[in-house]
Amino acid sequence: MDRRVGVGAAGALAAAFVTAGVALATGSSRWTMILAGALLLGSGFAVMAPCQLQMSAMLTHVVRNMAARNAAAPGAPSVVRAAWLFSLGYLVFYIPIALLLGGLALLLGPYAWMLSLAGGVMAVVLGLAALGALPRSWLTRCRGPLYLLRSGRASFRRPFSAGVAFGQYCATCCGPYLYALLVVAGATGAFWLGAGLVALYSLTMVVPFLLPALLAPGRYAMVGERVQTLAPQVNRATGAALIAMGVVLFPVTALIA
Amino acid sequence: MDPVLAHGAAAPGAAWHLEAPVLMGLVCAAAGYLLLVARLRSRGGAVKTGRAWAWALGLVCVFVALQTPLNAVAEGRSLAAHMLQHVLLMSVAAPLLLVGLYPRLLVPVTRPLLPAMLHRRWSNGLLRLLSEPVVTFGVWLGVLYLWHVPAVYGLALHSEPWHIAEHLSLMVAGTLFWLPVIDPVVSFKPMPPLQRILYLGAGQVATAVLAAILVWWPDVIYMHYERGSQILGMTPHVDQQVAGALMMVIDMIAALWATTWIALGSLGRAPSAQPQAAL
Repeated sequence: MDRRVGVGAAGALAAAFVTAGVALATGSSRWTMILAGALLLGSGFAVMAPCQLQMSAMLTHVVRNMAARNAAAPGAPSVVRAAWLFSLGYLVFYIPIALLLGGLALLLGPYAWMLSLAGGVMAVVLGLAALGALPRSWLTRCRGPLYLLRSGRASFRRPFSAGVAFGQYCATCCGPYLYALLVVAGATGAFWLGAGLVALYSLTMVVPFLLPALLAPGRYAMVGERVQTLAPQVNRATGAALIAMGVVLFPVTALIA
Repeated sequence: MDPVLAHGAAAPGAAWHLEAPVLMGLVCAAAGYLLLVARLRSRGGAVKTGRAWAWALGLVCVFVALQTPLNAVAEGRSLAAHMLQHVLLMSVAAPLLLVGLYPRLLVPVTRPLLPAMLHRRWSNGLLRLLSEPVVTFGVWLGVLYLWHVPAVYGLALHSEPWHIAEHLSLMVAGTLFWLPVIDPVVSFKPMPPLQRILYLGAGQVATAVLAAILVWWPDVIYMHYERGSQILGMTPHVDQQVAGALMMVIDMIAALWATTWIALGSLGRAPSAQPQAAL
């Protein structure tokens, strides 16, 4: 590994350990919650980046095909309108998810951490399966976004439904993370904060995906020609991120239990 | 002078905050860019319109952060508004301005300056130092955390020179952080795409601690805002939580967008290795 990356990673780890040390040394509940929150927020990028790449990669693929279709038939739906509708479908899916997860955490009260632990285990299993460490049959019902489009379950002729379908696909991986976020927020008596963070999380997913599609559809179409070469790396990154997320959820659960 | 009193920020109606030096700086930045574009066009070079829009948007972000009513609200009434101001400067304006620059556009600046700078030992050393991601990351992190220590934060709120120093240093630190990621001129040590993404990830981890403190600290950290009138009916504590969430989310959007840009950019340059499947 490059020295600079090593130093950067060491710095990030040191920051995490210093925070953990302060939390343990002081035995303060406020530092415990901050540590749990920092672990969750800090791992957010690792959870979201592979999903983000998958969404962008899928859109480049779709935009390429839509651009080709538009060139042949000028009356076809525009790329920009489809991208907006796709994003709207994705966001609309997440609002009930946030409510559902928040309600579940409220219902379980002091035992809400148990589902967070189960989510951690599920994330590790999913991650191992994505990396090919488990039998392939384990993930037969969990296909990538391109599968959703090819199989017709989500079509860009119906971009809103495609957004909802992609939201479902994302929620299976990111659900445990979102739930843990809600539980940590709930432990400080601020469920509105948890629901707000989940809503912001879904926006965080959509905005970086939507903006390049709107600003540079031509560039996207060009990249779409080569996007499949990225798929194996993104799959591996997704698997690694899921395992990392699961591993992070264990200490977070221990801190909030 | 107390900027809160000076700008009437505690009053419910916030005022525009037009200041000649900032406006002059923005006009000069826009004019300078147009001159560079005109020169490039006159030499038959390809002007990148998207990059020009990024530069313009970056200047708009600086204007919004420093010259609009957001500034008055940020100083007197709301930590969330102040955080928005900081994030606009560090995580939105800085990368947009860097994206606006590219080697061919900068030739009139780099051609006379770079050889001389590389020739002198001290400036050569400085350039090499600034191309080290560990250094840019460290400076960014140090500046970010320093200005959020309550005593230092209070100093900036109650002294105009310190406040200017705060905004300037945040802008410079933000630019330094994004420099190895965007790399507008050829660097001594350009980072490969994967390292750039890891660098952005490390930035997210580092920001998460500060954001978590703001979101989950049970008390109001910056007492200054306990005196101000509330905005949108938020108590000072809720305002603090919103500030932490805003910081995390906007930083993450910027990092995720950059990740997509890096990945798709490198893919756009890579040779096609597999046949395209029909959709």
